[in-house]
Amino acid sequence: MRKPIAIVLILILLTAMASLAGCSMPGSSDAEPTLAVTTPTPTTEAAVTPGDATPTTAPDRFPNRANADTGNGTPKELAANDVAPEFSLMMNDWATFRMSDHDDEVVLLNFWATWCGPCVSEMPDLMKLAKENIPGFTIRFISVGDESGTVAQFVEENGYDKSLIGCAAGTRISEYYPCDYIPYTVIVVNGIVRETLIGSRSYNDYKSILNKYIGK
Amino acid sequence: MKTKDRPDRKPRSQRARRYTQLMAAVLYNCNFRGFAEGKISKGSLKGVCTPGLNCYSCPGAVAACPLGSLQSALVNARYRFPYYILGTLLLMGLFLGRFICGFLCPVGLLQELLHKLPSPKIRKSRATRVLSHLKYILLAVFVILIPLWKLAPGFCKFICPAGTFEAGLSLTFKNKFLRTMTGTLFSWKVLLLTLIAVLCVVCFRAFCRFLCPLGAIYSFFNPVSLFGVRVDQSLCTHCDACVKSCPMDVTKVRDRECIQCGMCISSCPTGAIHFGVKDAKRKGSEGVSVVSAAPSHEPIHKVAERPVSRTSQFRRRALIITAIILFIAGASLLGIGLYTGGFQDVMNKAIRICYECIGIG
Repeated sequence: MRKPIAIVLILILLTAMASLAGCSMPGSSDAEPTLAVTTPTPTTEAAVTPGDATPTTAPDRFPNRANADTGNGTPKELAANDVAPEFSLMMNDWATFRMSDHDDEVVLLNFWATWCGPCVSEMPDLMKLAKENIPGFTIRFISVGDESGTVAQFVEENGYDKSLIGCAAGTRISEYYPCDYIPYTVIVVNGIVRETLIGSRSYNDYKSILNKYIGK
Repeated sequence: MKTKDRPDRKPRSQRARRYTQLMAAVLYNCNFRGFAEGKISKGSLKGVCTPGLNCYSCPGAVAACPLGSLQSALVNARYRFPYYILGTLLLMGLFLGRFICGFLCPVGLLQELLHKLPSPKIRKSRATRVLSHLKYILLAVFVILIPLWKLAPGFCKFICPAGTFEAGLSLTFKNKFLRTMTGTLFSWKVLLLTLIAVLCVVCFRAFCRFLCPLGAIYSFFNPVSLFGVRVDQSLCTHCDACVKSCPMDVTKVRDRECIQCGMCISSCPTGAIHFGVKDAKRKGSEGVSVVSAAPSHEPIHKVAERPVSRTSQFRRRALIITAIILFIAGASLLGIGLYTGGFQDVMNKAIRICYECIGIG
């Protein structure tokens, strides 16, 4: 009688696991949002903490531009020559960074997380690049794997420039800039994606990549 | 009418175990589209940990790896205490202990299948018993110290064969760009995977016995786990047939090395071993061998008449109290973890491909 009891228990356990797995399976490998949603989901946190987006309208320069704030356009994996999706994000210094405000510049967007070793290790090199104040060049670090409080602690602890670092929690930025791998770096020139880079790189690597676009 | 197993066939409990292992492996990795596309699952179940070792960067994985999540949480422990993952591990250990290793671990299944390949076999000995302590060192150094001090998931990065096999090989096979990023670390991890696989062919569950830190964690819960193999002390003659038949480095049923697979059930001449749930009221049916040793030649009826000693009663009560304390602690940690966003933390990590699991970095 004991063996059947054991088997029944195992089956109950597996059934529970199967039902849980079933919950996630339909959207398991494609968690990209449905396009039916056209307005951003406001959060309580959004109004009071850095890292929250302020809805904006699509700029005229790229009328069909995907917009992470409003949910317009189809989120997809970015490739060279795609228009960089619009987004606004409150940085850790409480100032809002809006992508379309930098359509005449070279923008380096670095997607990272505090628990990501390669991300954290390349950050000093990228910060060094930012400190050079190269005209026409903007750099922003967007955390896609943390809560805003954790990012704020990280920034304080490392003494990084608060105006360069923001947290995408509560926004749809990571849907419009999909990144299975981090660090994920997107280089945008005049509003157009030129390069998407996976993995960490050194100061010299980034410098040589950027030299192709800055001042040209 | 009760049917008996044919002598040439495995006992029914072992066949059921094999099916359970297979079902667990498939359930953990049922994102079949991920294998085809070379992309990992981003479902909400990625915030839940599987009981067994299963890399969350595997394209098929629909849930998170408990060991990877623990290391990731420890890397970030300076910002957020890992309540959620600690509560999860505590509760899984308390309810199932190393029953998870025997029934619910895909890596365990792979090792057992590898061991079926014809080759000379290394049997358990004093040397393997000593080697079985290595996993505790790996747990301390690679799972706890390196993540806390060096801020890197040490076991995933340098050792984990599950990560190399499930994530590293499958993703680099599908993704040309990833192949260009592989280097010395990837080569090291593939070499280690090969060595472990060969070792598993000649030595039963070599990774599980000597290297697996998750097994080491669950082993601490074996004496108090609520479900698993039980020994009916009123029937036990202490003949050691169970220990002799066990391919693991056990010294008694349900000690730390026991994966509660139940292989010993059929070897017990008195039928004293069975699967069951801990029952506090059932005198003489205790998970741990605590009654003073009786001679193996002692007649069964005499053994059955032995009164349960005071030490035995005290120890049983102590184990029950420990289990209650662990349950309260585990449930509290899990509750606090859920309240403080631990689920989201685990998911954030699990829905992004881990370089360390692949062997890049």
